[in-house]
Amino acid sequence: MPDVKSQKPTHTVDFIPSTTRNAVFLGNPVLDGMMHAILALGAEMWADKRRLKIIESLLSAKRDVTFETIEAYVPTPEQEKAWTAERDQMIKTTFGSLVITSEKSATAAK
Amino acid sequence: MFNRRSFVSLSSALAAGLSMVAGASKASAKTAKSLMDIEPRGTVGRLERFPLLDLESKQDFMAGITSFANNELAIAARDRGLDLLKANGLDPTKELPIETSKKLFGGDQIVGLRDRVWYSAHNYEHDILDAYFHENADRYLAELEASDKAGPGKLELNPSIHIPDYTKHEIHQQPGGYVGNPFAGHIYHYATNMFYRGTNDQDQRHIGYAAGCPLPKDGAVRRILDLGTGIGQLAVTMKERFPNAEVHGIDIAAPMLRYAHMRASELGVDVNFSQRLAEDTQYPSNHFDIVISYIMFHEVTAEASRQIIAEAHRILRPGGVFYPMDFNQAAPPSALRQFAQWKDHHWNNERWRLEYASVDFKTEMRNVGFTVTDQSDERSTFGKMTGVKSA
Repeated sequence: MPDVKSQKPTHTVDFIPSTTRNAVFLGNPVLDGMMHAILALGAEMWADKRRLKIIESLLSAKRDVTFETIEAYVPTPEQEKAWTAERDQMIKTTFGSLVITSEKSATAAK
Repeated sequence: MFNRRSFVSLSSALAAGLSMVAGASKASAKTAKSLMDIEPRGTVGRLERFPLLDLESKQDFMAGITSFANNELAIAARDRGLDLLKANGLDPTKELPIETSKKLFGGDQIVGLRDRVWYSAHNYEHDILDAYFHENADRYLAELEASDKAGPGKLELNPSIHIPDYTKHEIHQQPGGYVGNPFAGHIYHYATNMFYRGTNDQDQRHIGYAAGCPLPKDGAVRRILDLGTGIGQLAVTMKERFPNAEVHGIDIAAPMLRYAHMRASELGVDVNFSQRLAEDTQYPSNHFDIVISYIMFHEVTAEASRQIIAEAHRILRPGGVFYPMDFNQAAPPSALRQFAQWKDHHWNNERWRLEYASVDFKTEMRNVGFTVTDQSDERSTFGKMTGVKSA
């Protein structure tokens, strides 16, 4: 946790840090780290895609495209639905190969 | 140049329009905004939007990843686990010594992949929120400070209270835990919204839990207490269900209470929050008509659970109702579920998860004098247990 850069009262007390944050689930900390990095990159990419969608929406509606209008944009319920479907499809396409069954695993071992 | 004032007014106008379409709650209609209120992107109904579009989008992605982990990857992991049990001649409907489970499942990459993805999404979410609020610490602490004295409800902090060590852990890997991070409430609120994947953005779940709370037989509800209130969602929704009752929410963590109070004030809901221990509330005996809690017990020790049950009985008036909601204890034994509980305890730092599983709540509640009704369905995530204090 970063230091608090403020002189204002925080009303906190010392906490007991977790000792299990850096879990190794894949048998090798490098593999675990790489998986985490790929997910983080996915988040960065989706953030850019969503921003682009908002810019396109504003342009289509012939509205001002500024930092403020982009940040303030509230997607319509239809857009929310469509964007969620696109996100899920993107996850399926990019991460679907990770759905490994015992059978696939046995084939790979041969 | 970024003009915050026009940005706020624009986003507020957009949010107001959306709220009208969505049918905003009665509570939000009487919102009393603090002058310090920081809502750079406005609100949608009861939800203060993420302060940055990027944060919102990253959470949205991780919510999708969490669904993927909980569905496709979890099915593959479960099937793999069952295959491993079968290959070793073990019965999946029986629990195993934990060392056997760790040896059997712990090193398997198919089982581990689901966990890697789930924990990465979860920890990433905590990290980006923690970093954002700490980068803007002065503004958000000023907002909390200005809200501390706002109404309609009251906030009572107790700097001299003894904070037991068991409450100081980074439960579910939340940075700084509940007591050590000034933004614990902010982080908890947004991170749990990801956990609920859109089904609680408007407190829908808590509205449902409040609606499901049984009444005392005589129907009289004058005082309600929410134990381990956290960010106060259940206390607020109970007040909305019982507008004439005096509603209190207590927690040991000041940062959580400050956020709870700020949020209740912004929603215009009159709830009193105070920093107290659930096992020693300091309220008079026979004081409350209803004592409730939501997912508190699995975050306290077995010893504290027993003390809290006894304390709930003491402060309830005869005929009063105790309604603790937490993870279901009615689920049948299963080797895979048992291992999942251990992982939650160990890797997710849910320090008291196994102690929670060891407490027989029905028996403990009966032991202190409650008449217990258990309507838990073994398939549901949360149990439904009610204790009534003898009239």
